[in-house]
Amino acid sequence: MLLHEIILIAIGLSLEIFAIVVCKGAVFSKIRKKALFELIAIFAAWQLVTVTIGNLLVDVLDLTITSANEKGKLLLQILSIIIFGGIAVRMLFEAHKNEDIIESREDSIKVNNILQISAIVGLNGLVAGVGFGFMETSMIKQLIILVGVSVLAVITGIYVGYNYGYRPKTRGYLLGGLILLITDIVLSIRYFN
Amino acid sequence: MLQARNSVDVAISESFKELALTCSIEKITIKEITDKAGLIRPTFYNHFQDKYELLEWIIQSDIFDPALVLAQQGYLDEALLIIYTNLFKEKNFYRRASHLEGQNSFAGMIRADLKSIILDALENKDLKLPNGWVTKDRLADYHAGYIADVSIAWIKDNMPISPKEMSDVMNFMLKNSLLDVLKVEGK
Repeated sequence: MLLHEIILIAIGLSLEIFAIVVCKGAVFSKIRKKALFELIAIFAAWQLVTVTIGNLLVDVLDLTITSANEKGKLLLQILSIIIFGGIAVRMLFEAHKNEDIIESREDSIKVNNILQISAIVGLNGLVAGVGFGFMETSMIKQLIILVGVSVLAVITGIYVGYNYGYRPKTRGYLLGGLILLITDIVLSIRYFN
Repeated sequence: MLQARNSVDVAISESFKELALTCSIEKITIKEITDKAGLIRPTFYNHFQDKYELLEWIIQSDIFDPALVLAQQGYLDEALLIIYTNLFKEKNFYRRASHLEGQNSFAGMIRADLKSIILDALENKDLKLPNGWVTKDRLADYHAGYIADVSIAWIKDNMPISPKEMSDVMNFMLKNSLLDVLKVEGK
């Protein structure tokens, strides 16, 4: 996978983190550095662990593009596109749902609660790791880009939520879904041309 | 029980009341409330936990506090008239608020405030209750319940009778038991 494709996918996936964190920022009465660092650590750790597991799974099952025959390569490319396309469709569905939240002041970070609501981020990381793994994308590149963009998403999300409330989460889901969908189309054109 | 009112609380509450006239309370966001009040969003949380606490504050300070002193001194008729008059002054807002159901229901808030006032009134009274199961708390709960129910029915019905007539209705209900009413009907 090319560098700009990895970056676009990372941005698309991180917009889900943005959408989740916006809701957390919306209930802060004040942005405390401790809470911000806790959130960054939780989401960075999620991405680190799940993307690594996704890649290792592919390695263990020997499902990489170089180890596959021609038909196998085609299948892996299609699966990789389906994975990112599937995440894109789910994010667009979240944007469409446009769910309201009860904005009630909550300054502490309840780790169990954050882990629960960010479970989907873990799942995204896992399937993205598998998708990248199929294409033998450098794991170092994946992790640096994904974790780096996730950290930015957390910081941006907290400040946006704090200043503007939870409604920008819908835009996060919409933009993330669209970026992943467009990247998917670009990948499809490149793979099947 | 009497709540302090500062200018920011008042600005936030006025903004909320105006928004509630055109939008369901569940849909109103804190950003909308603070924008309309000309404040930055985080200011809201320095004053209220959430919009339901804001609504409770509005009910307490606009409706019950002005009548509290009269109620505590036994001027029940006057206290009721003040309560219904204050509700009537912003009938559209309270009619919309009365539709709030669930965990943060309007009925629950009214009932809780009424119970608190009644308990205050019963506080130092030596009551002759039939048995130990009937506590002051249960008594207050019962009376708060029917006063709240009748009042909310009046609000939801768009206050078809005047505040004076409504306070007369409530006076009648408070001073006459069901048995008294049935005896009158039986004559």
